[in-house]
Amino acid sequence: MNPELLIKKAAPVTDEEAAAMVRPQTRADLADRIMATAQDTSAAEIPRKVSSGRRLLLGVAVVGVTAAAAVVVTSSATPGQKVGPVQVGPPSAQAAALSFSREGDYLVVKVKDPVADPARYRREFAARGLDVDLTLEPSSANRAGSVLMMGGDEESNDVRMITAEGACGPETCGVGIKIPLTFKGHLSVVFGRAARPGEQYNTAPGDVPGEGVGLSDVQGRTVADVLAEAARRHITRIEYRYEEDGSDQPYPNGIPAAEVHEDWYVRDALAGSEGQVIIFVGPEPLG
Amino acid sequence: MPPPDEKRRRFEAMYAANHDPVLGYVLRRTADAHDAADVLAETFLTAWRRLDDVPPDDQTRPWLYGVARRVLANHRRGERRRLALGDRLRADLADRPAGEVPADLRPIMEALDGLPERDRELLTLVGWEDLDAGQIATVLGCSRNAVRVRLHRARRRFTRELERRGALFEMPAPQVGVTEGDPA
Repeated sequence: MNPELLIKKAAPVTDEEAAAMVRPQTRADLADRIMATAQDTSAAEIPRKVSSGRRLLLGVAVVGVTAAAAVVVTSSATPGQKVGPVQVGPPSAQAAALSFSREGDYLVVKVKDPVADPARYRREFAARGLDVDLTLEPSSANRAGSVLMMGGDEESNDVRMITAEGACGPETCGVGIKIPLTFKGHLSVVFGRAARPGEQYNTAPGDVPGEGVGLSDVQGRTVADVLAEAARRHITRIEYRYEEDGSDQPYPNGIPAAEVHEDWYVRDALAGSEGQVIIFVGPEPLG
Repeated sequence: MPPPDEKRRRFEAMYAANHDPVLGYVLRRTADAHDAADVLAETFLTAWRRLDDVPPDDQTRPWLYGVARRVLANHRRGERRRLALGDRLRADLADRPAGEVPADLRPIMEALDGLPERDRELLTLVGWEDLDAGQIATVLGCSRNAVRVRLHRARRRFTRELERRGALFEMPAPQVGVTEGDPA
């Protein structure tokens, strides 16, 4: 039996099984909703703001990101430690900003110094022949030290995230990355660092609803309902983002609280900054 | 530019013919119902927006697989977006029974997981989606020859991975149509 026939036998789902999972009205509904969106033949990009906390928050004032470069904290790295064929430790006498260790065919990378100059991270990667851009963005304390986002070229698909259950509050999140020893591509990765007092979080998409805001299962509840819970939890600083049918129009920069109806529905909630919450709302319920 | 109705008809025909295979493609690569719904919705949304770029005939499906593949890769990197479009589908898929790979076939999945993503995608595009070299070239955006060369290497690495796991499968020399003929 050739490899593909073996692989075929192990297919988790057939097309027929997939087809049976979707109700006919769901299938028709999706096509209708897609065709109801504007067709733009020039730009294939879909508005990235939809439900995307990262972009949204980037649009909001992000304070003090560059200031991080000025602060240098000496970490407790162990210079010169040897793991496999990889020299672990800083290229200079300065304490390492990153920790590298080997695990099988992978290099495991974690951030040791979350307030180092990004140039230092680049240098430490470059010293190992790696083209990796690592940056830090302010996040809730829960997400500090975890991977907010990864991107890169085709080869970067082989870079894996190390996940840890419970490392970010009740959630599972990425606490480091695993790079194949043979990696020759380009990777960019964003880790979270604890925001300074008053600093806006730049939380990534993929955050679970209500992460870090003390509001659980907000999706699909009415605005009135979620506001009542927020009040019980003494959350008073709330900003709103509008979302309907996959679009943030006509409120691309957020919707004023006065225009939000109490009988609208909540799509998502993100921690904006310490004690402040951003709620995604729309007039239609989900589903 | 064709009139709007013509576009709708084209999209509807493409959607009807490819909804199930694209959903199958996605579900075979992620166990997460939410991700699967989002990837399917975003794939067809992209196809709608770029209708004039979608190639005809037997290249349509590989093109859609290629879009789904990129959206899925973004999801794996944590760059996921929840589209309201996919809400109903998300609910449908969340109810689906969890597909279990039988114990005797598990080493195959483990061996696949042990391969670089590129090898895994090549082998599964042949094994699961039944594509030929020309169609795989469309999915991956590379030449047919590159597909053949990479596929040959991927098969060798897969076989080694299986052997490393001590899995006992009868495995004669690879001889698959993809390496032999040029269908187009």
